[in-house]
Amino acid sequence: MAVEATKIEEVLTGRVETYWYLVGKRLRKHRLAMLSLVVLILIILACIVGPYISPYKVSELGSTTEVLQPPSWKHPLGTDELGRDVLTRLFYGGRISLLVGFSSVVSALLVGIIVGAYAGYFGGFLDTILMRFTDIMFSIPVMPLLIVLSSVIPGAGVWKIVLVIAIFGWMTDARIVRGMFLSLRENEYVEAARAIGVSNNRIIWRHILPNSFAPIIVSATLGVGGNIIYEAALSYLGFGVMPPTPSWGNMLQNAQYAMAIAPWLVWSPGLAMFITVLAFNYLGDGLRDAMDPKLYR
Amino acid sequence: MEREETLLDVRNLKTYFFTDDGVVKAVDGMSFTIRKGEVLGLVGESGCGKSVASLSIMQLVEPPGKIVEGEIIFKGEDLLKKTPEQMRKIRGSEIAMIFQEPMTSLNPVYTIGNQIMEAILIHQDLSEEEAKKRTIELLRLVGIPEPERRFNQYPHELSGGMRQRVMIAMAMSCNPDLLISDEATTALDVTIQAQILELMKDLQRKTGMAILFITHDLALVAEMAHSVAVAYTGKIVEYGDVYQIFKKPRHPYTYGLLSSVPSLKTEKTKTPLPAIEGMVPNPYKMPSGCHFNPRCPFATERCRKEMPELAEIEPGHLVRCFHPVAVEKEAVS
Amino acid sequence: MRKLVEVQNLIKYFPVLGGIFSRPVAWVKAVDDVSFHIFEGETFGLVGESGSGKTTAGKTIIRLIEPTKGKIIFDGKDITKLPENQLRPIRREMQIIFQDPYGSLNPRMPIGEIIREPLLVHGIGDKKEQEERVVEIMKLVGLRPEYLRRYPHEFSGGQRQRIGIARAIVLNPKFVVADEPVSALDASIQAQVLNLLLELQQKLALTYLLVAHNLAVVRHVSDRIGVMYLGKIVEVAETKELFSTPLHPYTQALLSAIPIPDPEIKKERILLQGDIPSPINPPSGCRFRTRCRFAKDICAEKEPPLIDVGSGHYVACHFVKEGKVVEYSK
Ligand SMILES: Nc1ncnc2c1ncn2[C@@H]1O[C@H](COP(=O)(O)OP(=O)(O)OP(=O)(O)O)[C@@H](O)[C@H]1O
Ligand SMILES: Nc1ncnc2c1ncn2[C@@H]1O[C@H](COP(=O)(O)OP(=O)(O)O)[C@@H](O)[C@H]1O
Ligand code: SF4
Ligand code: SF4
Ligand SMILES: [Mg+2]
Ligand SMILES: [Mg+2]
Repeated sequence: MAVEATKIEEVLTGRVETYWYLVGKRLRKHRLAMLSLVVLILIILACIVGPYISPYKVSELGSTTEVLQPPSWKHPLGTDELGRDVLTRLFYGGRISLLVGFSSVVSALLVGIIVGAYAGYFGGFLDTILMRFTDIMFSIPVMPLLIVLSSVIPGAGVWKIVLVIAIFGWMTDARIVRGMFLSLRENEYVEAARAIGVSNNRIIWRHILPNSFAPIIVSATLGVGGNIIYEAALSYLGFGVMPPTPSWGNMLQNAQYAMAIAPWLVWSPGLAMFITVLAFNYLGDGLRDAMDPKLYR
Repeated sequence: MEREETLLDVRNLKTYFFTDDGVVKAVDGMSFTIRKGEVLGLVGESGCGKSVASLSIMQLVEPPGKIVEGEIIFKGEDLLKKTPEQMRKIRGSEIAMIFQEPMTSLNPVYTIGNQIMEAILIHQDLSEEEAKKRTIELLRLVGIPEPERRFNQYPHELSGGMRQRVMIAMAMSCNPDLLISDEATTALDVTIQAQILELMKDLQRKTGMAILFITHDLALVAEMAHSVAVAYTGKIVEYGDVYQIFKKPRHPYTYGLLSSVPSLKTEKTKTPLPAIEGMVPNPYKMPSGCHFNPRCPFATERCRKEMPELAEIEPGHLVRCFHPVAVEKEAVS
Repeated sequence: MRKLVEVQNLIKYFPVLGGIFSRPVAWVKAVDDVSFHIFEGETFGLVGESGSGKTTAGKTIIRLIEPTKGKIIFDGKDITKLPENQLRPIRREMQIIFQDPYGSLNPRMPIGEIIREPLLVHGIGDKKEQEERVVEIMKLVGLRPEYLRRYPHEFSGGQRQRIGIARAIVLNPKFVVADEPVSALDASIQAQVLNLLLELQQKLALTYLLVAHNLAVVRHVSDRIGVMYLGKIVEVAETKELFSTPLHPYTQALLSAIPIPDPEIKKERILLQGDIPSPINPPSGCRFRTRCRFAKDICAEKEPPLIDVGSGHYVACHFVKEGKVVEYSK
């Protein structure tokens, strides 16, 4: 019986149409998302490789004549107030910004998924407790709090920033995941799993979670961009990554004092951030369309 | 069967869907006629093009779907040549349609009375007062108790069977010449289904309208229809009057389908049913030749190469097959 | 004959939540004091219209839904109150096939994994043995083992139902609840799946509880049939007996409503009036009285008990007496 048209060899060698294969196929049709993906890969590659091939060191100070030079052949994006090569710093700052963006998303997701999954799956009392806690976390005025904190704890390393973003950033993920679990747990395949005696934990992690990846991945993609901006905003509060370690955020913040005489100092990190965040947003949109659950059951 | 009696004549209708993954030939050269006052049953499994055929007649096919060929002659005029404005007038007044899920065809924010009244006011030159009176009459006609009270109820306040009655009332509001019923009782319970079928038969007898009765359930066709068209993969494979189809099915598919449903008469329960092997082909990968050949016990080399034509093998009985089943099928039920 | 499953006075009420505190404001009486038993090796059919409580009864028996009250005895053991960890070994013995071949398979698991999961969970065999067992079962239900790595969306409804059946029987259960196993399938596929169920019953000595609304299907597969109406069982009898001498007015109407694929048979229908009442507020006395053509005053006052009228034929109607005496017309 069955798919007569498909030959056995085709089945054995043929491509197994996994969900991700189909998502990839659909994503490839989404021009803007594909363009964004290419741009992001280029940016990430540049940030990784850039500092190695650049003739300058990140924090290498130039001679006094090289301070605040506009773009030239020698310094394609000019130099800053200490005579450092902006392009090199941009690459290096990109590493930091992207690192902060990615790791804070991952940590926030971890918390969000755990809270959301248990709240959504078990419902009832546990759900109420966890969600009230989430609401409380949401209602904390983060920025003012950080302003106060920044005066107490001056300067912070990269990992502290990641921690701060994660602590104040998991709630949205938790709500998304809870929503997914609330509806997915009603699926018959969950009931089927219970019927064969699968434990609750295994149902949560192995049966339901893979089905809620779509919105999680979309949210994570959008979140990387969002957190890059968040880090920049923290920089303004003096809570971001501390110089001399560059990040796009603190480069931008530093540049504001020299804006009138050296606008390239604003343009370079500003544009880099703008393009990166935009690309993450378009990629997120593309993924959202490509993972539309209506398309595959 | 004189020609003037013909109400609807669908000729070589082709409606294709141009999707990203390829062309789906949902309706691929269907032809059938409905005479005035006739009930034609259109049966087939899901995906064989029944709904697309009915939407094509109403010209409600949405992109990427497109009617690519054919004629739909209604009362002597080709509907495919009508302007959208003219079609709008015909829909609901001369041809009415009821669907499987009445909830999605009723607007949840208006009372059912208002919705029927609106349908009447669009197509008929009546005052509000008269339209309301007619609405209540219609609700009574379709067997809704206390029509005056029900007039002011919202769709969600009614049961599935009641909603389907409302849909029928709305369809009947302008005395259509043709009623298209697409799986109208599929979602209902047997006892409610029996009520609705009885109602449709009764209205048909009273008004003399014709019905295109679409269903996947052969048993319903035996009960409702005068003639039957059996569809498979977008084509009609067998066409005849209800006795020809049920008593002397000649197409291997029709024959197989009739033998595979459990019968209420047989003593041989708990024994294997004569099932049709395999499954309906993937619409993107139709087999060559006769589309039924991978599942057909009578298939020959020729069937794998050539597509048979729908040919008349006895007066009024058309079969699309090179090797029609010869035996006379014993009565089922 | 040994009773494999015995259900005594089973009740399942679902809360209807309302108000700002999400407190129960009413109860859906999905299954309301139902008793019956299933013999080892037989197929017990449960029929009735939608909302009559068939699925709820079936799922409660295998403890997928917690019973509100009553007793479920499986294989001689009272499983009504067993905690989940003690229930787990018993779950091996009782399985379920779901109605919806789309919703009941995890879309992110290859079908081989879906069928292997029960073996994993119950720690049966090592990886290799499990894989061999999966291949064996796939062959048994008519799936090609080469498809093992494929995902559910690549299969048709009929094939998906085979996958669901494979998952249900891979642990070699004694008892399988089949909840409308063919009603989502096309006509030409229904027969294939029914044949498979019959074949498996023969080969594996299964006991089935078949929940379905298609009476022709139930008649073909079942040895005995129970008819449900609004959470109650109104009639139980052997299949032949039920179809030849239905005694409850509801059963009679239900049987007469079956459409028959024969244009020559013009049936006299017993057309029921009105709709099924809400299970939140069922009619007093006999629940069928609002649609029953024989209803008398007593039907509103007293609930008719399910009585044995002889040879294992049970009916719940005031006018059906022992020895199959029917006195409707009085
Ligand atoms: N989880 C639930 N919560 C609340 N009410 C429920 C729940 N499950 C079922 N019900 C209600 O219980 C009653 C019986 O439902 P059940 O699904 O058992 O009916 P059924 O006989 O299987 O019907 P069908 O033929 O439609 O499958 C219905 O009124 C239904 O709405
Ligand atoms: N909007 C659409 N886009 C693509 N394909 C469609 C669309 N609507 C219907 N089809 C395809 O057309 C064929 C016939 O469908 P339909 O007429 O709905 O079948 P049925 O006989 O069950 O009513 C099927 O293969 C279906 O998948
Ligand atoms: S043409 Fe051939 S394959 Fe097609 S139905 Fe007839 S015998 Fe079967
Ligand atoms: S008890 Fe009364 S209402 Fe119920 S079935 Fe019998 S006659 Fe009808
Ligand atoms: Mg359809
Ligand atoms: Mg059910």
